[in-house]
Amino acid sequence: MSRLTDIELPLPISPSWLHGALLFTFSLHFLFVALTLGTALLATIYYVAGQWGGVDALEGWDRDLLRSFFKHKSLAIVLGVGPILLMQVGHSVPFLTGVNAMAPLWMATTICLIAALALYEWQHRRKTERKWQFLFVSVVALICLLYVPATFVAVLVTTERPRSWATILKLGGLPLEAAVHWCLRLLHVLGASLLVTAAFNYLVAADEQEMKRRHMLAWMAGSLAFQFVVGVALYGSVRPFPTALATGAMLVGIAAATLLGIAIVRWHKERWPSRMLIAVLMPFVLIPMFLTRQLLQDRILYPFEHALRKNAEVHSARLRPFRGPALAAFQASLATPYDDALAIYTRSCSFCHGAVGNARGDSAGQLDIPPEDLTRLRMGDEKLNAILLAGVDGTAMPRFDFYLDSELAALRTFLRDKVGLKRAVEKVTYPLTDAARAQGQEVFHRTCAVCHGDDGHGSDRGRAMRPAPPDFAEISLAPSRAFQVITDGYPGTLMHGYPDLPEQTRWALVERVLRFYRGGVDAAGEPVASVDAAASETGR
Amino acid sequence: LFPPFRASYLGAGAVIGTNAVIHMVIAQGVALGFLGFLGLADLYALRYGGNAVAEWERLLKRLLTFGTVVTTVAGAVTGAGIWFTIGALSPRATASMLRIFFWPWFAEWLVFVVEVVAILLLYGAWDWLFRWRWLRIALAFAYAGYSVLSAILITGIIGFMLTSGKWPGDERLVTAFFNPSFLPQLLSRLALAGVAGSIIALGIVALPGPDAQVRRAIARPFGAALLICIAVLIPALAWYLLVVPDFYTTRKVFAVLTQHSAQRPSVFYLGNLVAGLIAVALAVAALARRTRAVAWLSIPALLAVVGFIAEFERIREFIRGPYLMPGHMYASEVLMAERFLFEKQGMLPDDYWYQRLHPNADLNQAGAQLFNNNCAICHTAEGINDIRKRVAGRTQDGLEVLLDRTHELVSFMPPFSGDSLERRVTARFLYRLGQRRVDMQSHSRVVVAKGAPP
Repeated sequence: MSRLTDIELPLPISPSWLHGALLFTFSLHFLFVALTLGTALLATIYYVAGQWGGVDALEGWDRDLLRSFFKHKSLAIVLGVGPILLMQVGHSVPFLTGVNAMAPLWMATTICLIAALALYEWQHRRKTERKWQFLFVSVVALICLLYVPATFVAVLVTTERPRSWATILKLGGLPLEAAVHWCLRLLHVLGASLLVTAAFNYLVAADEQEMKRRHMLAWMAGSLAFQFVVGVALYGSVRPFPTALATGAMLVGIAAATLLGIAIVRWHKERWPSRMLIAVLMPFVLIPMFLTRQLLQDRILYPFEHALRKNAEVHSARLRPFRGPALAAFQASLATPYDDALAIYTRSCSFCHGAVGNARGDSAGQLDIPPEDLTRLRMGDEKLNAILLAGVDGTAMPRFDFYLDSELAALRTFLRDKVGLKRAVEKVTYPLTDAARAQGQEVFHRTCAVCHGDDGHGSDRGRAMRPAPPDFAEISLAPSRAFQVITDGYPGTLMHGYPDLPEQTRWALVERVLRFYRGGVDAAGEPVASVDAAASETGR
Repeated sequence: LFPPFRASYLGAGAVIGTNAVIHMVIAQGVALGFLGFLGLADLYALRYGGNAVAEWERLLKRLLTFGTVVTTVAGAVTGAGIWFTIGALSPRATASMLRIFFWPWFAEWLVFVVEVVAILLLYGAWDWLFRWRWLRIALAFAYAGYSVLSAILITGIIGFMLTSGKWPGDERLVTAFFNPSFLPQLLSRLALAGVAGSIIALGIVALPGPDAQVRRAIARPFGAALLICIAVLIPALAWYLLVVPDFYTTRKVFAVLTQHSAQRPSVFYLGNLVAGLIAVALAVAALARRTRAVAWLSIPALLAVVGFIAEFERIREFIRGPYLMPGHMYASEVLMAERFLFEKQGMLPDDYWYQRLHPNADLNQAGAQLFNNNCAICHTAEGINDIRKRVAGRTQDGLEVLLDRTHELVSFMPPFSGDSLERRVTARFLYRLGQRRVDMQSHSRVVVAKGAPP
């Protein structure tokens, strides 16, 4: 089954509550977003007008406007977290797929927002005399700020288009139809921001600030006209075509906006439009628009999510038989801390090397190069630690440098004391004649040295192999194991067996090889041998 | 469930972690700790300020302005930024966590709104409220109360991600919220906030400027606060470590040191000891009203506390290792139950976006997708925690065995999810990746380069 499913966990809030809460919190958030964006836009415009417009009276308006920016943006941000929470919990898959499709842009909003807010803080606090520098900062701040709604609208446009997700992901952006819709929607947001900000500033302006009030009314009238034009195009760009309900909600808003427009235009002839009238009309303009937005979104997401939840139920039913085992596995793993060498060996080593180190772990059979029998491996501490830290190239033996040095030290002790990985190599007890020894030396020089080198460190050719032949000075084997390797070869590597050599020659080779070993020599340079071990070894 | 998206080079952990640590330094250090002391400082000024009223007002306003600007600019945005990063990089876990913790999060949001309104009120009306001094102090304390409430709500949620307690059995919100590490972690966080807050305050107090008398005066209460908070922090941390299962805590040192210095654990102990000593020295200097010593010590102390907050979060994030939601979801965003299903039926046939975006995928693409679904939440293939370095030198059959045992081999790795054939395909991909025989055309979308040898 390859279907998109919802999150398996149940919704913690009923869908109707969710949609009500979303409408409420989003509207509240949008109000302050509009004030933030509108203030930023107007401040930039009035800075330019004040500095270069030739009207002295306009100077300083930008600073005046920016005074409220701090509060607007703080509230816009904190209020924004609510709708994001609701979208992520209620529309988890569509919204987060929208986020996913726009992920790099989406994540960059954090950086752009911090940059924008820091730059506005700078503008507000610093009164630079350099006009162009100030303008440059204003424009950069404005771009950083506008980046945020641009990205949010893109995410929402994607969220509402489940049918286009694959196309959007393949394109890495919006297809033309969606891009047009995005552009109009962003313009509509900016128009609304100007309207809301102008209305806000009209409402808070004192009676004697006649010029400011006049300007704000002009901005309101202009942005209303702008919203009509962009709104009609936006309405046409909605796919599939809006329903009657959404259209009805929108018409209520348009009616209120028309009344607002009339109230503003009438002022030209008579007197200032009353603050009360504007304060009453504004919600009737804005709320129907929010409602329309939500209805258009729900119309697509409701049935889509219904299908997702059905799929999730099917998926959950498939998972049901596995919940018990999963929980049991979880509890078992929590009860098994890797707090001593035995635990570490049991979990990290034994599946190849076997519980008692005899290379008969459960997974050993799956390896082309079998794991080494640790009970018959011989090496010094330094080499052992080097292998634990770096693994063995060309084999499955991994690096264990994700353990601390103290843990590795404990593991080394464990390998020595409990598993039987010894330092010292045992003496060969097979009765060898001098002639056999000479022949062993001859065979070693002629055959073995090609890879192992005459000195046992490995020839150049040998060292280029993966796995490389071991350096006999550092790594050795119990005599019986060395005899086995010489006789049968080392599976999965170029080391093949030499069963046709006379037995005593093979033993002579064993002795020759073991004499290279320096890992377990005593002060006099003689190999330290354990007599018991040697006896038991050769007895096999 | 979601199309692949990975943070190229950095990986999800580094991106989310960086944002989260900055946020925690501000939210915990400035918003909770530093601004939490505001009411106390105002009270102190009222009691012991004498007639240097103007100087005290100037200093308090300075502290408030710093706190308000930092929290409302960088603090609030990085807080929202956490949602932006986790939603993009761990969508399934984000949505799943919300399905459990929607109401605490929603409550936390409401508290957050009130908190910001309170601080904006204080900031906007600080001078005006001078006339109603007790109201101002009460408002500052109310703000501190809301900050603590917000910390309580968020700690329950974060604690769950480390110790889910009995939740996997009963799946109740109350069980999840009041999980075993909730209280000790809350206490640790509050104490740490106090430590950070008083260090930041001392840093500002020690800045060169006028009003030396007032600065000297206020150094002592901040020094005392610092010392008290350190005294609470140490046992709180010990308690916290005690309630977290050993399975997790055995990795706490490695979490900080990583493979780079895992062979020198003394760095960890020494670093923490030095950081602690610096903080204590700062507290002592402040108690003795040695403003010059405070000035010199506050910079290393600030670095130390930022480092400690980062360490605190890093350990918490890292040691929960194989799980994102213990008992429910692995770090790879695969459900624990799904692993058993995928073991039988394979993972890719269930992967909607893989089927949709790569209908004619070859073995390389299949391997890349399996790498993405199993490994890429932690491993990148070109940057931090580079998988190519991890697999270099291993044989293909060796990788296949290791993939079967990841969760045993390394205690903080989740198990491989997929059937044996998929395990082989992944081993083949990793082997070739390690040998640089395949390459990615897009790391973030996990697309294998065209023209790579099949």
